[in-house]
Amino acid sequence: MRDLTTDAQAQTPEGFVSGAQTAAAETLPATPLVYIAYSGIWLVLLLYVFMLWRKLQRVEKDLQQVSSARPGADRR
Amino acid sequence: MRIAQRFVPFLLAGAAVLLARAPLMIEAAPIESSMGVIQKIFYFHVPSAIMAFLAAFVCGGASAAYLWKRGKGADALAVAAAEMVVLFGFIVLFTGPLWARKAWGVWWEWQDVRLTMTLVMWMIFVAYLLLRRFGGPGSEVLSAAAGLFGAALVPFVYVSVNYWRTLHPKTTVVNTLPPDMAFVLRWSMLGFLLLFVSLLIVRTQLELARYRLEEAYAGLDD
Repeated sequence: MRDLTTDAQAQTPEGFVSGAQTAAAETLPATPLVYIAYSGIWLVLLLYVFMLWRKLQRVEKDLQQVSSARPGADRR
Repeated sequence: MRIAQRFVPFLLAGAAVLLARAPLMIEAAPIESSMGVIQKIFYFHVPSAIMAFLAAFVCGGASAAYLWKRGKGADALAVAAAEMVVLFGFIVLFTGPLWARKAWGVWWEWQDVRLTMTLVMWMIFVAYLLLRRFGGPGSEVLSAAAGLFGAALVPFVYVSVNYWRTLHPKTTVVNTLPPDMAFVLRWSMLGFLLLFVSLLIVRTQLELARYRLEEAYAGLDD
């Protein structure tokens, strides 16, 4: 089994350091991964907001139908 | 709840402005020296994780309140918060592996305690929602207990990186952010917070509307 503690000490940075030159030396391109990450986040959030809005519309419509089926029923 | 609803358009508008501006600021933020461009995932990954933790605490608190007083408002808030944990937790679990692939050379590492505990916490809240969906009568109490367990796990997930040193950096890493990176993180954090609060209010409102609908149907049957 790999010694993850030693690996982590070698790989995990203990602080953020600003530096613009490193990007050019990258082997696996990071930009597509960043784009996938942000596109995914926006997609998930927009999809959730849309689903929430649809569910609210449906429940409010059902509530109106039930209320109209019971004249005199109290509406909160 | 009605008072909170009035703030939703303003909260959503604030979140929209902040989150629409955020990508431009993230692009302009300095490139981190050891990880490079991939570190930019951090600006949405960390706020999502914080919102998932916050939602878990809200769910735990509301679940405890429900178990104590059996109020429908507390139950509705707990359901809404559990859904927020699943939503923001999914974002964390989706963006994390993309970052890990580049920074650590692997999509996932089971021996990393932070990763594995986050997944377990997320699955507890998925179980919460499944219980609510398919559990039948009485599932509110069972799911409230699950919500409490899920919330209790959050502090362990947070401090795990300080005690089990694997791939994730320690919690103190955020304090080392240079000011121009820290500003972008705070900007995104505020955007996510406004979005979280507005979604939580709307989702709670939906759950309360469902209760009213159930009562109305029950009234029709009588």
